[in-house]
Amino acid sequence: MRTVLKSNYAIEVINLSFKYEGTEEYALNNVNLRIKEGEYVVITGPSGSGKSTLCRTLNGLIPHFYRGHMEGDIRIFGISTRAKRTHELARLVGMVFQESENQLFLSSVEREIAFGLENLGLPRDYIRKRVKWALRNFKLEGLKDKAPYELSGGQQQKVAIASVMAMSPRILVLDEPTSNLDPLSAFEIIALIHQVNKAMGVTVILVEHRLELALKYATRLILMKEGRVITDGDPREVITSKEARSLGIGIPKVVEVYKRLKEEGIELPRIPLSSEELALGVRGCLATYGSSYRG
Amino acid sequence: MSIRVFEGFKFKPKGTYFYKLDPRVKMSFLIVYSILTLYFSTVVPLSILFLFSVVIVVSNRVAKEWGRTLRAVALLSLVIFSFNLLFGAKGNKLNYASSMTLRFLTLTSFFSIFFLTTTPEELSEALLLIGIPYEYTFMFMMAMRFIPTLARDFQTIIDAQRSRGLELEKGNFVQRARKLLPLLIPLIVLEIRRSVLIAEALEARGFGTSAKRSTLKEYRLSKVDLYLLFLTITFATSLILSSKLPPYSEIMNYRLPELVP
Repeated sequence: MRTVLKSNYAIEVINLSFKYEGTEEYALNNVNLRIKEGEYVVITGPSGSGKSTLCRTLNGLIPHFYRGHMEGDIRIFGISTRAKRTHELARLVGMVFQESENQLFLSSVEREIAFGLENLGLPRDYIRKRVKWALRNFKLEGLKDKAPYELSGGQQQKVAIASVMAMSPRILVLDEPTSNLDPLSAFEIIALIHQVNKAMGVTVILVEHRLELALKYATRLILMKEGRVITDGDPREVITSKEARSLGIGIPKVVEVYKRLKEEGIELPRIPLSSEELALGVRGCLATYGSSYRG
Repeated sequence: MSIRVFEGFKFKPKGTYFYKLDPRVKMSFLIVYSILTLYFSTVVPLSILFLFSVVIVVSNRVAKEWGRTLRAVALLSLVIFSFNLLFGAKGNKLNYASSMTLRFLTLTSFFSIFFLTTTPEELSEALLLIGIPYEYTFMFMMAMRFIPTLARDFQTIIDAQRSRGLELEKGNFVQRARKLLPLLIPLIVLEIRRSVLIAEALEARGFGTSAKRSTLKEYRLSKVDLYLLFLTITFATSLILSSKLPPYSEIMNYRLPELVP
């Protein structure tokens, strides 16, 4: 049932520009990206920088669902999204949206997870197997018969991710999945996304403002502004770049600490992206500096 | 009358026997008893039907939710009663008014039982099984699903407009009606935008794939289903027959005495 894959890249975005119908300005302006399978890409940038628009081009919502003018091309495992509709791409690209309320439709978690598979017309036995798998892997067994819209925000987003993952996509795109969540739930969702990427080998594209949570696991960070990609690369390099500072994104506290230490003449061996990494770096420094301070 | 009226029309999972029934059986149950309720116009058979619905409600442990709805429609039934008593058909007005009120309550009760124990999906799947196209049953299901969301959005808009100084309680009828405009316009705009977001989420979950849809749940008539179907038919026929034939027909067709002789 799998499509034969024609490319080494999971996602190829080539000279992509897009303008929504009835607007003058380009929401995306000559974007070029190549993403390999298994990468964990975090995209950030101010509101209106084209992050959500970019997400919607990856599963064909643009240009099929939203009207407008598109230039360039997007290939998902070598397949052009111009040729495939969103529901045809659903088994390759799964998408989780910001508001969980608008993506949960049914009266039980179990049915919610089955919904996408039912739409694809898959055999009942297979659906049953996938639902079971999703319930177990996302620890939702206890909530099986609960109504999704009666759950907490964090659990709702978990159900949304589980029901997308049940369709076994190779790429998971998440458009600000934690923006309506409390810090603890956001932390849990980010950890869950990491699990999807690590344990299931799924390519993750995560649009996120909470960098102190999201960067911990990212293999790549992309900064966007006014429809353009302005920096793209290793998270440690991108987050300490001039562009990151000027963009006014939420630079994690641990990175700020690193910079201050550097100004003070203490250079940690590696730019930390989590408090664990910072602690480790400081401890290592203390070990080397320690003797000279004492002396 | 507020949003509480709908309490007894919202699915409440309790797991008792009525929940396990095939939605088609539940639907035929609803249809048969609704027709019976409309067929009889005297107090005795309508009371029997009403009591029968109460037995089902109590034995399925949904009395609380059912009670809320019945209490909420109490005022409406009072209106029906007094209206019929004052302006009702010529002849026995007390009898007519009581029967009409009883009929209304019994219908409410049966519908409440159905919606309390049937999820929107089950209902839409039942409609699907009897041949209604999926697009329509799905539309119906989504409408049911988003009622609470709509109610919450509406409340948010009321609160927002109130906090900006809109006084909803002031003024006469026309003035008050005009104040609905600043509530309805944002609501419509909000829901249109929401519908776009829902549509894209549906699309992303493979909705509209040309392949024939499959379902996780399988509906097969079980023993309990057949048993209840049999009971429904037996009870309905015996009610009708007893109203037609002696010796019970006299009791079944009993009319309340005139208020003013």
